[in-house]
Amino acid sequence: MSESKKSLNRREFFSFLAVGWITFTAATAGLLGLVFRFLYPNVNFEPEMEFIAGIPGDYDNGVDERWKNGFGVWIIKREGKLVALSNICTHLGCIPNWLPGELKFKCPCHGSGFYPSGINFEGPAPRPLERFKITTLPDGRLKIDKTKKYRYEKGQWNNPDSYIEV
Amino acid sequence: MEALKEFVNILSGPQYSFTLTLIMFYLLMKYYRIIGTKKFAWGFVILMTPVYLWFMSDDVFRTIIATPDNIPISILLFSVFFFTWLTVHKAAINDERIEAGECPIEGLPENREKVWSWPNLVYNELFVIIAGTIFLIVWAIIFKAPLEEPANPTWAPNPAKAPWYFLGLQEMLVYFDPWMAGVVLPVFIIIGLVAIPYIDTNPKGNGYYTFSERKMAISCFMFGWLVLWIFLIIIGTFLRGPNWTFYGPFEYWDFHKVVAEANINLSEIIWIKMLGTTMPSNLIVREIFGIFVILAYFGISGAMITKKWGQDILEKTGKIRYYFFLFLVLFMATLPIKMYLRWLFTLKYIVALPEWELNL
Amino acid sequence: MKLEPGMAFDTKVQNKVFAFLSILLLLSTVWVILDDYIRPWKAVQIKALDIKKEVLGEKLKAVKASVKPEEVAALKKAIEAGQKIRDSRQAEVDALKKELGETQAKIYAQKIINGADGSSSSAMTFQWEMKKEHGKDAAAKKLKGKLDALNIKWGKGKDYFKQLTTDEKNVLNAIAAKSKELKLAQKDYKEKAGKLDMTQEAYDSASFFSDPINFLRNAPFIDYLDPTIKIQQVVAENITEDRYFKQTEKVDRCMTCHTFIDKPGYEKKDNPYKTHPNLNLMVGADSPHPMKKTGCTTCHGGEGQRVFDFNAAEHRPENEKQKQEWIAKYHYHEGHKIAQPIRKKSQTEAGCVKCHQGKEFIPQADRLNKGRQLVQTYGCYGCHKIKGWEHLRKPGPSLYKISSKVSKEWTKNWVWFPRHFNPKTKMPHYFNQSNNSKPEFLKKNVAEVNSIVEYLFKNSKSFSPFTRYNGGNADKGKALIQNVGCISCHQVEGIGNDFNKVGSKKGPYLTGLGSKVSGDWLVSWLMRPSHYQEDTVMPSFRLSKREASDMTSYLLTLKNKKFSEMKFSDLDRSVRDELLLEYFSSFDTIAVAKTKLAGLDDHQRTLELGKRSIGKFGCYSCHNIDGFEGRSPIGVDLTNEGSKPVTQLAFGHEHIEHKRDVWFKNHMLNPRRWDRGNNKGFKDLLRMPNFFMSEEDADLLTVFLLGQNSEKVPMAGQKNLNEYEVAEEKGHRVMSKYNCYGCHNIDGMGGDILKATAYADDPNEAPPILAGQGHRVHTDWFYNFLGNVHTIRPWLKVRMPTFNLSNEEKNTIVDGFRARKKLPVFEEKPEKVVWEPGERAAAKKLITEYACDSCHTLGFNKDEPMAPNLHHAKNRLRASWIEKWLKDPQSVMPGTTMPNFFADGEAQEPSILGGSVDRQVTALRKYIQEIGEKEFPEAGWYEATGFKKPE
Repeated sequence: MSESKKSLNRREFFSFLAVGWITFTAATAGLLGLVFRFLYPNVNFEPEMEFIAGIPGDYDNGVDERWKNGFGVWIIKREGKLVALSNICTHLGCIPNWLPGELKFKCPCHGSGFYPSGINFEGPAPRPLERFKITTLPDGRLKIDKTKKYRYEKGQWNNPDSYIEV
Repeated sequence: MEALKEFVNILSGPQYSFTLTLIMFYLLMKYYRIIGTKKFAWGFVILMTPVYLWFMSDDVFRTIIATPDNIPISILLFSVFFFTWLTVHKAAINDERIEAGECPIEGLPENREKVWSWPNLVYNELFVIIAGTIFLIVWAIIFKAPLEEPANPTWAPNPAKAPWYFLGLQEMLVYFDPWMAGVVLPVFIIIGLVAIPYIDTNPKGNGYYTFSERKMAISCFMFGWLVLWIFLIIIGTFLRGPNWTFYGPFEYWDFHKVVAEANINLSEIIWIKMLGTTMPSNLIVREIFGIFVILAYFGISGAMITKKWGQDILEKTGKIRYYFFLFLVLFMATLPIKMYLRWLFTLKYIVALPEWELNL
Repeated sequence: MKLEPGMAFDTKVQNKVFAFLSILLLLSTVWVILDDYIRPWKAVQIKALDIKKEVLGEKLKAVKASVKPEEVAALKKAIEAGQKIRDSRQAEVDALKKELGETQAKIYAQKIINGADGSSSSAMTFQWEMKKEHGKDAAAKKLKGKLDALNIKWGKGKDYFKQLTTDEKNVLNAIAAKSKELKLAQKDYKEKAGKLDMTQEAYDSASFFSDPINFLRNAPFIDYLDPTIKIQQVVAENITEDRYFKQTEKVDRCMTCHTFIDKPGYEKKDNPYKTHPNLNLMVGADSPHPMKKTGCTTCHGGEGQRVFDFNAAEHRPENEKQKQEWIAKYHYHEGHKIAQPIRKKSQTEAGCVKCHQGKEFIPQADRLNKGRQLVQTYGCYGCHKIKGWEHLRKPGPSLYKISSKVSKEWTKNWVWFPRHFNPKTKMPHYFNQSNNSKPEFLKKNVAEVNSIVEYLFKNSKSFSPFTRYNGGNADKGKALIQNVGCISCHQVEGIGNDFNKVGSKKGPYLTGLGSKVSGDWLVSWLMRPSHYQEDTVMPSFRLSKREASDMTSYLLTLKNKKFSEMKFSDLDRSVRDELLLEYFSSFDTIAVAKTKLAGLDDHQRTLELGKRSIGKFGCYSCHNIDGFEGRSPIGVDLTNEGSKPVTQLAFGHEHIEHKRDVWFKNHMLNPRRWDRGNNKGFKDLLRMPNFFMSEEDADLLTVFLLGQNSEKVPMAGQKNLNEYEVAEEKGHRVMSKYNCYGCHNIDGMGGDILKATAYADDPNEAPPILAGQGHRVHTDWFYNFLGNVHTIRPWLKVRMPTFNLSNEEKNTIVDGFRARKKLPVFEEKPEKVVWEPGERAAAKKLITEYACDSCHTLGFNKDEPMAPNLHHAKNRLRASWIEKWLKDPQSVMPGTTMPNFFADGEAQEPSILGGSVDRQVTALRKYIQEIGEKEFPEAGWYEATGFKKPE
């Protein structure tokens, strides 16, 4: 009896039953995986994350609010650089207001304050505002790409994609 | 070849094909012992294969048969043919054994043995699940679901067909009032099916195939199933085209085909045509003939049937069961009767009371 | 094998079955995953990347050619050198960095201190204010002391902070200065060779296979995270998809396969990788129809949301050849039940109409505009109601006074087959067509034509020409016809190809007139057309009796002998009566009809049949006929013809493709063909006449009809005409009615008369080109001129005629021009000119130096004038335009003979007014205004001035 059992084990390492269950499980896993993949859409109806923002000559020194509504971006020109700051407060995600009289961004939710450079200096905000990628097209127009962010505290503000020299 | 196809087209017309089906049904019931043999089955297959291929060689036929929507119907029909033959085959074997005094196959000791449901039943169920899944997956890949035009509430597709399982009823709508064909008839079908265990007290035929021991019950049911349900689905699926006009299997679905279909009510036939007067204003008086016919049909034929064939059952099952059963059978018979009345006499309604939504 | 008790099957066999089925299940799962993952459009995108690489490769070659490798090497060497210098300063940099670190630490600390101080100060200020408000003066004073101290401290802190940040900046600058040379070298490199690097990098990373991470990003299952091969879509702004009971947003995914459609540089590639043609007008980001706003299916139709493969989008081949190509390449087949497939390329302009409403001709939609022009030429709108075309007059001439113009015999033969008389006529043919040529039908048609003409002549009003024809000089007449301007509207037999090149179809082709009208009629007509037909569009050329007689004499020589010898069959009274009985018995019995017929005498019967026949054929739709005023046009309403369900188009037994555009085209080539194979009675025969259209015409009209559909676009998405465009369009419509475009090229449109060789050689002999007329002339002068046409350019042989314009029409024309230039209605005309000191004398000197009167007459001499009289200029020309003209005439009117005295911004007379162009021009303009006459000139100007009118 044990001999036949042994011979069984040697000849049929993968019994039909084992093969059956392994492939059945694999197939079921594949089908479930397909269901899971199906739940993620192939196209997203998202707002535009890239847009053209005119030419550098359009902007004066200081904070420009023309792209704040609808695009969520401040264009700041200072110290020879043109920068696109995100208007999302780094504390809990509210939208700060630019106070030209006090030369600071002030978030209404918890009072976080940022310098025109985007550096945080008061309130609970832990880190400065993020910059978006800003590049020039061959014809001189500015292109802002909100899918790429640059954070000061990680030293990413030295990345040439985060500013335009003017 | 063309002439033959023309002939088939004509023969497929509802009046002829239904009659043919009735005849074939009768032959099936009468000669089931012969039909139920393997020889017959093989002979049938060998004979019908070239016929089927000849049918499929026609472009129009292929277009209709090969629509993704209609392919399941073909599969269904093959299954119906096969399982009907299987039933008759097994019944024939058993009936011979019973006549010879033996017990049916299912009565043999080895077939009366009990087996464990696991793994015998459950394992096999798993196989069926897997096979079914494979079938559906492959079907879904090969036959893509069609995407038709955006829904337009002001435009109905032509033809507008019900799902295949209701096409028999949709065909019935040609002959019957929508209330009858769409509500009353299906309700009676369901009631009838539900009532079978309560009406049918005959213990014969339980658990084993037979025909001779349950001739009437099987004939009644198979008539309703094969002739009325399945065959009408065949007509509704393959032979009805735009405007619900009849088209033969080789006939191109010309949208502009015009067929004369002027129908007339019984009350109109009698009052206007035969008696030459105007229609009476009183509704009951107007339809009195039709009402009389209906009552006579149920009453007289009911009485006649009971006298000739029904005594036995009446005794065995009692009045309530018997009369209920009789009513259902008579009601079922009204379908072919009405269809023939329409084909032969262009009769529209026996009782026409549109004011009460009651047209029979 | 013996089974154990309780077992119906052998487990070993069952296990084998299980393994087998599971393997099948796994295989079918893999199959379904692959079927879902492998999509034809993905292959297209992968190939697109290769195409991109190709294009970048070409670009790279070009860039490489522009930057020499030695230069690049030199720049790189400079960078290396700069780096070396920087490295040599490492010790200094390190020291500076250490300093920087210390400074920054101090900044950090001070920031915290300042922050605390600042907030304390604000809080304390608030408290102090409150205390003061509530009268707690003592406490307030104490607090104020504290507050002031705090503020001083804080102020010092802020000052210190400023100092620190300045220090930091200085140190940073110092550090940066250490890399000065390096930075300069890098900048230099970037400027000169940066493009090379960028292009090279783009080229290297272009293909799908250049970055291995792409395989992971696009792998099955995990490609939901961040794929590179993905579906691209555009949600069109303010344009919706019509789902019958709901308007949904229009989503177009065509750019998934047409990857470079909006990117310049791929014009030479094959589809789907091609750039869209005419990117400045369509699809380009700067065009009026940017892809992201307009989408694709808005214009082209098709299933924009479907992406699967070539067939999903419902492309339609232009012709059979393309269909076969597509079958071979893409397994092309048509889908079922598609609401609007992609329009054939030649029919794309049908998609312009739904957004561009309210304009007769849509700019740059050439095929559509040609189709619309054909609708006007053939007069389709006469029989077929089309919304937006109601303003046009009936296409055919009025028949109110027909008995005074032509004979009955002529009319019968004309109505029967117009081309027998005029081979270029626009009048279509009703008789002897493909469905009514059987002898019995011909007999009935003959009876109808006889009756029609009888009716027309009976109901014709009487008319007598106001003058008699007493003979004339045919040769002089022929020359007049060639020169005075007839050819801008008419083609005329016998005047030579030179002049018939214009091909104008506004007026009829003048042939066979000698066999049609009398001399009296023709002379009267030529001298005063409105005398015969009050609302005629034909203007008066202010012909003298002699001129008109000469022209008449020539035109009467054009005879059509064959036509005038035709004898039309007589009226067969029995056929007539038969037809009448059919009419009368439409609703009554035959007996009643017979009684009614018997009640009419012979002549009445003919008139009755005539009236019925005119109603049957719909003659009144194109012609004004007495007794038919107010009747609706006979044809089908075509406003939404392009959306008509194909099942409602009567293909009859004709074996043609069941498509809308195929039906339209065939219908226009022969509208009667649908009767073939029918067993119709006479009165049910199709009646639309045959226009003898060319295939090209039928194609263009098909585009027009396809544009007449029920597609809706929300108001915000339509091209809404602003007030200027509305006025422009109104003006254009009046000018179209009177065919101003026949003579004048108005801002690029029209001016076909310039095709005639006589004018092609010297455009100064032709009617003037009206470019920017709205800026040029005063509106009140223009209005007056249109009603009192007088000579401005005396040397011209061609004559501007006097049109029967109503006051409203004149206003509309004038305002249309003005609106086109977006100007205010009036520009100032000074009563008295105000001069600077010495300016007037300078102006007079300029006039002499520049010899204005050598071409323009100034009233000083009466030599042959070659330019308009400047006395009229003040009233006619706007002052700002005069100045613009003087500064550069060629830019205003290319080809003019007016010289440019101020070329290249320099005055030719540098001594006058300091040689300043502006001052000289202003002076000249003022002088012209001063010498301008007070009133508008009269039409009898020649007589008044004594100038010779050119012969």
